Amino acid sequence: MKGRYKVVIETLKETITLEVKRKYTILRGFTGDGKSYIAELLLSWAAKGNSKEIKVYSELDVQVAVSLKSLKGLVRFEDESLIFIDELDFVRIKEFYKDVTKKANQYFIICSRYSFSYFPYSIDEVYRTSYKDSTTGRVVTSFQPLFIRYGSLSFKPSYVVVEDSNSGYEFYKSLFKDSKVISSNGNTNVYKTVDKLIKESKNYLYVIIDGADGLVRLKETAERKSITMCILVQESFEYLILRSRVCNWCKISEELDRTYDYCESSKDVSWERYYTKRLEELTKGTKMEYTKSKLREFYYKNSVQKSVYEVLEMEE
Amino acid sequence: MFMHEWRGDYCGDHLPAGIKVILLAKYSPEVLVDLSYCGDNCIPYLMEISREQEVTVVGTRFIDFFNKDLYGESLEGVYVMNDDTYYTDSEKYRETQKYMCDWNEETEEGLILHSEYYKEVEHRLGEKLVRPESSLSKYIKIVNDSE
Repeated sequence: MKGRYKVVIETLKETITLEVKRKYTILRGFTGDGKSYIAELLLSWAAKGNSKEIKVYSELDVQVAVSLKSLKGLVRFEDESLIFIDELDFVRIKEFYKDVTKKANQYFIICSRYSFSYFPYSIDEVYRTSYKDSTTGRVVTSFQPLFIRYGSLSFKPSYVVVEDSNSGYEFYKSLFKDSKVISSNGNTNVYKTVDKLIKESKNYLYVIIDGADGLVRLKETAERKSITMCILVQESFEYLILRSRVCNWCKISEELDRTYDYCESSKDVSWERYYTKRLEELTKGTKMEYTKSKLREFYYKNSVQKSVYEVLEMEE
Repeated sequence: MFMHEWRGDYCGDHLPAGIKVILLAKYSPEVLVDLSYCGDNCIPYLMEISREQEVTVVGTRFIDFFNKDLYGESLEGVYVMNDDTYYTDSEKYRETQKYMCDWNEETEEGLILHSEYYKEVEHRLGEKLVRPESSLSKYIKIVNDSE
């Protein structure tokens, strides 16, 4: 399933709009914001259809999973649809990702404040509600990104923590020659690695990650201990290369701008994997052939590193 | 019956999960409160209840109960079961975030506990457990492995 979809729910006094463009979308926010309320509205809409009280406008069918069994049923159907999951405990278990949703064709909207470490969701796709009174007296509810990217490469780091191992790690190691580059070997370990560095009162840290929201708290801790830390959140290392001048010949910029129209959710579970696949495909047989396991000599060139660094600066 | 400004009237069954959790914490203290159901706007109420009686929470997401800027007030202390310690200092309490992360690895040979996790257990073996007077032991019995 590809594409960007908008869901509009209209009740007597309220209009709720939600836009989905990736496989996993997370809704968070205050209690009483209306997350469960949306699930209730959708369930009653599924039973009665469009009525005076509830009207749902959506290109695709919107379904609500009320249990793991019902979710399995919906996924097996392989129909293009949006599946709404409201704070159910099964989302926290590994089976949810591994056996049920990994190869699913649908998009999932999950209401939960839990930080998931075992399935890939982007920091950009975590939303909270926001209200606005319109002139017609209706309340307009929409969803805004919860995390705003911040940080700047204004200082020289003495330590750089990166999520990537192998190729990504090698690249950053040569990019930040004067600093100590530490690979955390995976998303879940970043927190632990940075925590350790903060405890040892190491100053001037760069943390380059693909999106782990626990780090927002780390930033707070670092501020309290007056440690200068910059968290750089980007799509992935491969995205940086594709975005840079090095890959201008691929003419891929439109694909990067509107990845949701190209990334097939049943094949590539996250955009990160999609970018890796595309980079490998595009550079195959050329001097800049990219593999995740080993970095080619081409990437150690000064000009290449400079252009990737420019993207890193620009993205923040 | 409850009323909402623009969503109409509804019964108690349809109250937001966070409010249900607060009511449970207030009227049945033996209930474990799952913090992932509570938004940030619920935390001051949980703090208020904790002044009258014990509130046991499951830290599925980390809440800094000492953060006065965020919640308007702060607690005098938090007892963390994982390491049997009563924290009164925000800085040290923040370090307990590590219990939230699942650092243990699942391998084919079985579950490998992370060294940080071990350390805490080793550290407290043979040590007399120090707990605040209003202990939670009436609900939870700690059994030594060797027994």
